[in-house]
Amino acid sequence: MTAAIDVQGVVKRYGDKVAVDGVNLTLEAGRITCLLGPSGCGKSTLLRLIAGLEQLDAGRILAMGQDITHLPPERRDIGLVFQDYALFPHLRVEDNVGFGLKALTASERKARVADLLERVRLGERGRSFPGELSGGEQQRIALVRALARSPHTVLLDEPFSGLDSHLKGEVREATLSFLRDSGAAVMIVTHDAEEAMQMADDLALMSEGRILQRGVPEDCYLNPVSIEAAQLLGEAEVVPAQIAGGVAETAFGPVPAAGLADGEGQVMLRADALIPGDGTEVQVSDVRFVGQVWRAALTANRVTVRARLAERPGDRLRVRIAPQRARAFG
Amino acid sequence: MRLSVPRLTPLRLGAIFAALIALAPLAAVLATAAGPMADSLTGETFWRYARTSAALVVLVGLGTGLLGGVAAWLVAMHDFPGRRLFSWALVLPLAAPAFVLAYGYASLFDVAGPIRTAWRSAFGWDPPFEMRTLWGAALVMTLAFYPYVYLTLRAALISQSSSLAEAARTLGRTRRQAFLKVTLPLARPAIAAGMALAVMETIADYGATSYLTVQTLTTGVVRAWSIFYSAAEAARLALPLLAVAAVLLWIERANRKAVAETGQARWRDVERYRLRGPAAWGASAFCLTLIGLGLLLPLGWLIHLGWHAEQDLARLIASGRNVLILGGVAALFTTVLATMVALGAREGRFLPRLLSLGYATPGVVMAIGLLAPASLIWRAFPSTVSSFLMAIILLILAYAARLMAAALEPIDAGLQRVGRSVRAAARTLGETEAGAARRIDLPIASGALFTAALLVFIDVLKELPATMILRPFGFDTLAVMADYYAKDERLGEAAWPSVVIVLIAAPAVMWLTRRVSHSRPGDRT
Repeated sequence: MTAAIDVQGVVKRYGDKVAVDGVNLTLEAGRITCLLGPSGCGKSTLLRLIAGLEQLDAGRILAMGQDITHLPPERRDIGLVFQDYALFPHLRVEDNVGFGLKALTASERKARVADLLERVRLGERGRSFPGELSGGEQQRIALVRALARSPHTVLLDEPFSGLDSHLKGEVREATLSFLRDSGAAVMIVTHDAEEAMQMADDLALMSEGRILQRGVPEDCYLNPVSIEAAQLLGEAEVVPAQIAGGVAETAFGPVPAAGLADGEGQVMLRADALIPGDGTEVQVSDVRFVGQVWRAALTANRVTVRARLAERPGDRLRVRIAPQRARAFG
Repeated sequence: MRLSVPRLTPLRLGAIFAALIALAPLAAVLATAAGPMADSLTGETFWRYARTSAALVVLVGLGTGLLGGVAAWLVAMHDFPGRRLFSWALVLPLAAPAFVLAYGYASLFDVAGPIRTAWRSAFGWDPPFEMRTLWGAALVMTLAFYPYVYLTLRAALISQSSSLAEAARTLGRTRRQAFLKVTLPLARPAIAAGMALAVMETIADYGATSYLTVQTLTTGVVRAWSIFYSAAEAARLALPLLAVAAVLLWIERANRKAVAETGQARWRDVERYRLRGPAAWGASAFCLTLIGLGLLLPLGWLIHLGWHAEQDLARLIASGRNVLILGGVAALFTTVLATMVALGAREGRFLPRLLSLGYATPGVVMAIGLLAPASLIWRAFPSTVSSFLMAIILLILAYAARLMAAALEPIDAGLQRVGRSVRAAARTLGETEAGAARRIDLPIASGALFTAALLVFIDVLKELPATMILRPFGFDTLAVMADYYAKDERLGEAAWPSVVIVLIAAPAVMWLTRRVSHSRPGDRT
């Protein structure tokens, strides 16, 4: 099947700074791709390049097999949900949603808008102005406005960042089901690892203008291709290791390192990688209760990591490394 | 982030077209100045004009800085009887062209006028102050133009976060020291910007200076044209004005940037110091005197003179109708052009800056600049355009070239309220660049468009020298009519068009200042 969006070797520079550095990425109809990266990694720029709001310096972008690299945004048939929603303040909600439906007759447009508003349970708010809506309602309007023209692809730029944390979960679920119903190819840009893993069919990890890793969330989490990729998906401590015969030996114990060359290496430990049990004796300091779990600094052989523990530790503790929560790199 | 690499989109082409209209007269002035030498302009005359202009600039700059500065400081930072009334009434002199004040004061201080007569009968000798001098012109223009400093400084003072001065207090400074060490240095750019605006008006003035028989470069330009019909000489006299305009513009822009930066801190209403007793009454008296001298006294005297004079009502109505139509068309045309520039050069700063040069340029220089291209067109198509229509078109072009930058400012500010993502959203929803401008930018900025049109209209209403040079034969505006009678020493007949100008302009000026000050944080007056 042809990809809805196929980004090929795209480069974007701002002066000396390379914001997007040779990115390849495909988006497929009916699948949700989360583009995860720290702020300033170029993920929003990539989104704007796909939407046609920025001109790229090299590479090309295909949509349904057609080259759209030089098409203006209005001819790309791509919906975009902006981080600040970008609702038109001078237009009523219904006119916002119907803004892109110029091809329809007035009555068709009215029916389509009413149907869309109904589907996000905002049928009553059509006559309101955007300023009269709550943040969550604005987000839903921005979403249906972007989907009103049934674009083949929908891009969402940090769609939940403006919402209160107690709203986020609910809005996220509603958004997700709405996006799935649309059948469009979806890309969500976010810097929130938890959000990305919850929403994504496919995950793309981005850092300093490059895509580090692509895959389903579980795979990316368990098998990061690099320490950087691992750190994008959650807390990770890095400790030095000595690799010999397929095993990486650290201050806290061994970690499997099949296929890595002998010599100096590094081991990435998730926060819950050290579990009490038979193993290395560690010194415990700086113990804090952080709700549900305890956090503490564990030191062995002058190497200290911050770890998450289920129970309050004493001054000394024996720990071992849970192999699926640690990973060795050569 | 740019929307795209510079491409010649319809909006960009429109901006370039509009800019050409504004810049053509400036280029033409330079070209005309290089024309054949006339004998009428001697170096001695030139330097005499230039010295007078320079002296006037210094006196009015200092005078407006002092009067406008004190007024703003009182109103923004103190509480005293009548403060709320004064805070808007102090801008009212902007409704009166400087020549109206000149008529009033020249008549008041005339040998047979009420002040000298009263003085002589009281003291038995003639008062030493003479209005038809450099000092008199400086006084008139200081009273006419102090609101520029008042407005910019007041805005800067009330948009300054009170926490800055409070920080100085907690660091051991007295109220006075905090003002001198923190508040005033932060507001200094605003004073400079206001003074630059006042000086721009000073060098642009023709009506007041010529009536008070003070010969400046600007009156020289008009003389060179209307007496000697020498465009080249007029243009040569205009060159230093153009240079001064550029310098003033640079001062005003550089300082405006600094003013904007002080507004970054989170603001709270500036706490006003309550004046009591003689200090409070002194403050009220100062403001009242300023408004009285700046508007009420000269205008009242003109009304008195007009009351007892015979009126040419038909001419007054015709002039009023002319300037309403002319001002309306010019406002519309200029606003459309400025909107084209604002939309097409949105992310560029170069074009707006070039246009600002037009605003700083005296209207008479614009008029001279348009004469040369006009005569070319005239010779090319002698019979196709009626000379009346041609003159009207030139006049509107001159207004547009001079006022486009003034219209551009509110429009730019209005368009800035349209978030970049809002505009991008329209694009992703299938609108072209021009379509997004039509459906999104212009409706949101519609209030700003009206503000811009009103600004242009008021300036046209008060404009004299460019209108005098370019108007069709026998076509009067209120300002031209007033100037005609005043030159004839028929002040009673000059009074009515003058008063009508003020009556039309005053509500507009008040509405504009309210609108501008309401867009700033911290102003609750």
